[in-house]
Amino acid sequence: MVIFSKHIIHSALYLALALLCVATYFILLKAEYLAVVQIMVYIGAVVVMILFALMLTRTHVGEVTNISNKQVWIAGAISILLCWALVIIIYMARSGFTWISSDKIPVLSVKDLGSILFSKYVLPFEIISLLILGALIGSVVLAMKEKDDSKDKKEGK
Amino acid sequence: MSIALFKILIANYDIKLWYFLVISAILFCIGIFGVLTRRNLVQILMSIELILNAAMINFVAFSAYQKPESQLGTIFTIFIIIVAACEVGIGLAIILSIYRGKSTTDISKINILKW
Repeated sequence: MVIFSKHIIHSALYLALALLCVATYFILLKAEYLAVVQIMVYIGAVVVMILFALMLTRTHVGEVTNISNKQVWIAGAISILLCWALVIIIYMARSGFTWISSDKIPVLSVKDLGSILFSKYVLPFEIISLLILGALIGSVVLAMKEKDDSKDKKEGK
Repeated sequence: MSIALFKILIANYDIKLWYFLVISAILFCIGIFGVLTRRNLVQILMSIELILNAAMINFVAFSAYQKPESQLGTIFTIFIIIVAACEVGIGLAIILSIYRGKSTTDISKINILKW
């Protein structure tokens, strides 16, 4: 639905639905913290950011955008073949995957997660926070550059 | 009531690992198809989000079924979520700056790197 809907706003809303479904899979896997983070970060932030970008690039909002006809058959064949091959491989290898049964998965507590994250994985955590700081500054700079130019032009006039 | 029904449903069916892997493979291929076919930059970003979500399901599923006490999959997935949020922010900023220059988000019309 994310891919096939013709209006791009519908596509963004279907993306929110698909991310909600991924959050339900996390609940099935007994990772409640991840489900909450998924709902907050993806549906709360990412989808809203995508909708904002759609609003700012607003010539295409009302417009119906079709899938291009040149590549669609090749791409469809490639993706269907890939999907088929992956499913076949997973189905053939499924006997190797039975480590524990699903009702024996323990519920992961947020306290343990926090203590692991800040003891064993503290260096990746700091690196990832540096990365998100860089991404924040970079996106602000990228989005503001033209605006500063136009402001300079207005002041020049 | 519905939660009790859900618990009964969960208790009666043993959810295998490869169910999650099949779901993830299908989601990944839908994302690949979207990246290959859509012409709008924002929709390509959405498809990349689908691919990242497939990878996240795989991480959490393998971690939960193999070594649930290590919580490695959860930590990896938190990092993936952060990187995906960074990627969407940067990507949308780039799309905005391209849109200001070219006033389009159609990738077949953005050919300024072509020679």
